[in-house]
Amino acid sequence: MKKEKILSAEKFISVNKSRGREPVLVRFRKDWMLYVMLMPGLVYFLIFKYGPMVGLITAFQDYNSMLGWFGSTFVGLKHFKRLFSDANFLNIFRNTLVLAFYNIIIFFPLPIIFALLINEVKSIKYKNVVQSVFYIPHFVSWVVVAGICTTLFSSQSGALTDMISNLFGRKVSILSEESFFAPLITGQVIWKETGWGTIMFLAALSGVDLQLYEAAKIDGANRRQQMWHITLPALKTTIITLLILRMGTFLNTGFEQIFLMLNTMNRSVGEVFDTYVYQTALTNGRISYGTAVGLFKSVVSLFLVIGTNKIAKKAGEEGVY
Amino acid sequence: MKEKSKIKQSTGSRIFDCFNILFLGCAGLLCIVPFLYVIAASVSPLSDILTRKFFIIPVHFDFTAYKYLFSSIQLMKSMGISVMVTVVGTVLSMSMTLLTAYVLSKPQLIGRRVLNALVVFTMLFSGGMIPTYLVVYKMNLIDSFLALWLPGCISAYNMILVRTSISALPSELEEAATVDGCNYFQCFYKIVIPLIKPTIATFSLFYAVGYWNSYFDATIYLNDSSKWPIQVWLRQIVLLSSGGFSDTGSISELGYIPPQNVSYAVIVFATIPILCVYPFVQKYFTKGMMVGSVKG
Repeated sequence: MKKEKILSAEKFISVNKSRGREPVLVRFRKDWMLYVMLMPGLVYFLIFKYGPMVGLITAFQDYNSMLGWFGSTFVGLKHFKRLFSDANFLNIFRNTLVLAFYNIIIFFPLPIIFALLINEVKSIKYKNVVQSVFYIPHFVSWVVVAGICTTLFSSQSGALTDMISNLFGRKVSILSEESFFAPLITGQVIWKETGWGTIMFLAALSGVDLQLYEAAKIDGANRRQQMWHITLPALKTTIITLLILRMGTFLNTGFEQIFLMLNTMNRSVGEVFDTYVYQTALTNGRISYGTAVGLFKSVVSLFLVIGTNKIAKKAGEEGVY
Repeated sequence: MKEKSKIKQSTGSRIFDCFNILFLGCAGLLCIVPFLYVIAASVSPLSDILTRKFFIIPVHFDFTAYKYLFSSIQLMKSMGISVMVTVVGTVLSMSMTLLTAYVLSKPQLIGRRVLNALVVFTMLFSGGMIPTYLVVYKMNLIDSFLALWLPGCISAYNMILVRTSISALPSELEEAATVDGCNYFQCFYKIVIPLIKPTIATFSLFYAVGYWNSYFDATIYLNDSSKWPIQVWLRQIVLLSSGGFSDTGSISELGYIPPQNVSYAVIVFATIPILCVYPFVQKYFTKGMMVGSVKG
């Protein structure tokens, strides 16, 4: 009995090593349990990730929820034509770009700078404390962040409203004035995500060979030079990877966050693709049109990722895929 | 960099150190000051909040906001719902993630490359908000908690990081277990899971935070306000008490306009549970993330 088991196990291992030659059916029968274990995940991805992709045909139909995807009439590119002639389209595009540029230019470098600074701290204890505190805001919901902002800046009773009004010399209302929208959104992202953003860079830095620094010191490099010539190059791959991934979410611009900060006063500068999708499809019931707007955004995002990845590869870097 | 170098540090270098420590300290303070203000405001009388008598340390204490919260059946129930959604969701997501990651890490899986590519593709392109909503709607999940758990059950990103840390385990362990008669599921359960505990802790926290903080899914999938988690109520209360209208345009769900210190207390409520779990899991972060960030 026991001998049998060992024999079958040996067979199993030897089969493992020469898998390629076994016919597919034999492999399937041997590893059937693996496929059973795969089922829940596979079904999940097919229904909830690929199902909606199939559902994108809504954008080419006049969707009627009674008739569903198979009964609704097909209208080709009607909704896209309407999108490009929509008076809101340019406005939304501009708002999205403004927020995305603020994000890439102002927010993106901050975690790198902070990771470099944290890396220079010599006391391990202080470093740990700083890191722990820096990560906290990341775990708070956008609803809480929006709530705190509202209570701090609300024009009637905000705790900081008086101070800011004195600073500007006039009564300002950060939550509703158009010119404050992009800085407010970017400020929230900086507060919430800068600390957390350092974690990837610090992880990359912990892999740097300390001998490099010692060699540099012997060669007479000061700390600034060490940072410039050793630490920063060590981060290059991480920076490029994260930048490519960021390009994919370039047009997403933090939907929930913006959704929470939108009000009737700042909608003209705050409306972005995702909030417009929500507004048209779920509030106004124009399902097909909303889907078309969303599809346009997703396709542009996909091309942005592919484009950046290609550029990175051409520049001799490893891409994301 | 621990260094006990005998080379004397230059003055410039020491000034930089001082400045750096001070700067990081200030930045750290900025991260927590808003919380301190909210906590202080939640235990202050309304008059102090309106006249701004305090900033971090309250002048007078007044716990009416908390008394009110504990006496509101609706809000207490929604805290319970949030806890339930978080616990069930985290267990579900983590088990699905681990199972899928384990299978996809096996080289003998037929079509492994294709399956992995299918997962990666979902990170680059998605059907978007409306088609996902329609799928949930078609499955009759509106007004069911399943609508909060199922559509985002496995995060492709987390799954890939978990898969990488499973792949990093030496294959001899499983081979030895196989010799001893373990099948795949037993290997998974008895060998793999105990060995990647830091990873499990880290990603469980990520999922838990996601579920606890989820707001938008609840607003679109749950029409029945008696099923709302605390985040949705928090939103309504903050909007109403700061003089606006609730998202639903009416005040009927609560029936009155709550005073401002109640919104501070709800913010505290909606934040504290996560901050309580955080310190216990935090030590695993770097470990869990670092294993994951090894390119795979």
